[in-house]
Amino acid sequence: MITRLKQLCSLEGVSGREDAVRKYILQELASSPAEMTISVDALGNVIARVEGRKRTDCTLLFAAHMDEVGFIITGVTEEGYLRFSAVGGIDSSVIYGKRVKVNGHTGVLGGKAVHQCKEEEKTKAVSLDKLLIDVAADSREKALAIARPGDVAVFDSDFVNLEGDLFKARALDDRAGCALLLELVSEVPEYDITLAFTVQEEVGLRGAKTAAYGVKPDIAIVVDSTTAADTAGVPSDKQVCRVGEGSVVSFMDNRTLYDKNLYDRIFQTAERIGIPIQAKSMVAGGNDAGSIQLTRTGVKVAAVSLPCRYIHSPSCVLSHKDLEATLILLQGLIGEFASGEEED
Amino acid sequence: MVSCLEKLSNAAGVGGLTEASHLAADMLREYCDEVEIDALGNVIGRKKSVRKNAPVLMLEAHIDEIGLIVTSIDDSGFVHAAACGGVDRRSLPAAEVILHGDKPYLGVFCSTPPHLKKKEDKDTLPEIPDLGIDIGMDAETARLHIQQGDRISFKPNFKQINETVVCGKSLDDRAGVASILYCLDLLKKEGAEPEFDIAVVFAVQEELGCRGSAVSAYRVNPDYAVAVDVSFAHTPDADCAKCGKLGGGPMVGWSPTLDDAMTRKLISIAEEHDIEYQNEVMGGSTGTDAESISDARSGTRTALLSVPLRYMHTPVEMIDIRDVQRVGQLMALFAKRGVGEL
Repeated sequence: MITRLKQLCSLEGVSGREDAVRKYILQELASSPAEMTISVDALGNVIARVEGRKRTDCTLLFAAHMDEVGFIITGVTEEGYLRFSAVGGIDSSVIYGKRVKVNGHTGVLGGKAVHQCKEEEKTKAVSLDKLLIDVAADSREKALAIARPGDVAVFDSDFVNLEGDLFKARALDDRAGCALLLELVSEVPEYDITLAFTVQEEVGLRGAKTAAYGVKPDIAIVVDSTTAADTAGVPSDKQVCRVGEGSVVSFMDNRTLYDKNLYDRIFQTAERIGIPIQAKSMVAGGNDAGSIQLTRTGVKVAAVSLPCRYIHSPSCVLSHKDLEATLILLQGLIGEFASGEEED
Repeated sequence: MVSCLEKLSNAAGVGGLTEASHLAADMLREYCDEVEIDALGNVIGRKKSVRKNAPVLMLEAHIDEIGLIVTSIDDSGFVHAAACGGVDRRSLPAAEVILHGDKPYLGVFCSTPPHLKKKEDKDTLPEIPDLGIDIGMDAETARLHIQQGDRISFKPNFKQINETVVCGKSLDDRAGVASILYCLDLLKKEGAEPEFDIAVVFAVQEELGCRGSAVSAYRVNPDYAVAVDVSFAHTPDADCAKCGKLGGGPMVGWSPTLDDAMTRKLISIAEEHDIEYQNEVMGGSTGTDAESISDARSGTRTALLSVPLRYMHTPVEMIDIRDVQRVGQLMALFAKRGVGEL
């Protein structure tokens, strides 16, 4: 799984430009031993209806998004710098002094030397709309040979292990979810399931809307990454969730009130298996569940997330243990939800 | 030139670390009669002229870089640090660093998630000691491997961006070091016999107040000195009048603290040989080792050449290697020319 995740993180897939990720996923699905029907819808969502060892009447959907936050080039200055907008929620404070990749070229985000800043400028993040991408082109023409308006850029950040259980990369939100879904079909799953690899999550949960319309699920489980704020100096009531303490299950976020029955059964499943699990202890953020829940006449949804530090930055940090535990949980949930034996 | 810069940029040289000095000393040995490292860690190389009683010309660049120093490890295992040199705070959140503990450890500077930011101070960055560095260890493990006082450098990240432009940490002032090595290489390849006894100094602790150059100038006791540092290359948000141009050639320093005759001489050599250069005029202190060299012992006639550099004191410093080469050419020509009418 970790090899796949590394490969997934090496691919660029800013919202709307998920092509490389989609190609990789289609290729990996083709090598699965499970029988499946694969389709790609008009927006570019990959939908795989997978035959399990047992039939079920419940259409159980697992969804993860292929896209990542990044930048879109909006223009080129006379001096040869690239203007850009953020694609998805990128905080100004994490981009200054960082590098990006645009069409295979390296670009730099920075500004005048700190020595030339006024005192009040030195302690404030430079707002995103004041920054330009420096591709070391000394004219408009040279810059245009590197990137044109509409092209996209991603953070330049490699996949690397920290000393203990943690690892760092860009785009772990949500390539980690994609890797988990692929892992669910690395063997024939217990029951029939449907997988959706969605587009445009970071720009308004858009791909999941059309994907869910096509799938018509009875139950949908969104597999995503969520903010872990268990970092330096943050009090425990503001941490949301903690890295290394298992999958994160949401009861409510800014887009979704989750199905209480599914929420409880996910905790019960984790306890039965004996793996760590935690509640997302703050109403914040949102994911594809928001649009899936409101599809057609409505869908029961749950979200199982990986706790991710520094999400939407060049240095997302996840835990190997959390990834493994989440895989075991998702496998358990196939039996729990697809068997059709409702618990009350 | 690029591979030399890559090695130099990627080596760690935050005040107190010796990797960069040892690397530079090894590179220097090829060109010098002797190379020594003094009590503070300054690298000093000497190359005697064939001429008897030749004046001593000191070519100097600083070998240290900005970075941080560990001040504490909190009970959750996050490392807290103070600046060791004037690191640009704005570049720290989510930046990758190497902590030089009992071995090198990778760390990531914490960044505050948006939901924890108050609207009114959403753009204000925490003080450096409050930021915290994530090394993926609990407090007990962290305290076993990392101690207060351990140095922190930016992760090696050298990258060539196009034919002439490179980007990486510590190009302030490894660009200067590379220009001196380039100068020595030119002299060696030409089989030139300089008019001076040449003393090369790669000085420590410039970023902490130009300390290494003061004691090395005392030791070398030069007659003339050229300090090579970096200076501001223009970016669109900066004042053109206060910046040079990336790729526009050496920035020749003019200041009351520098020797005007040497400065003029360097400029006339540049013009004679069609070496592009630009003037950098400062009203007083240059903020470089040039001052601490010029006022060592009973004084040294000192000039300053700077390589224009963008994004100073961040992990993504950017230079044009042609500027580094031109600084080297200019010094080599000066060394061959001698003082003459000076």
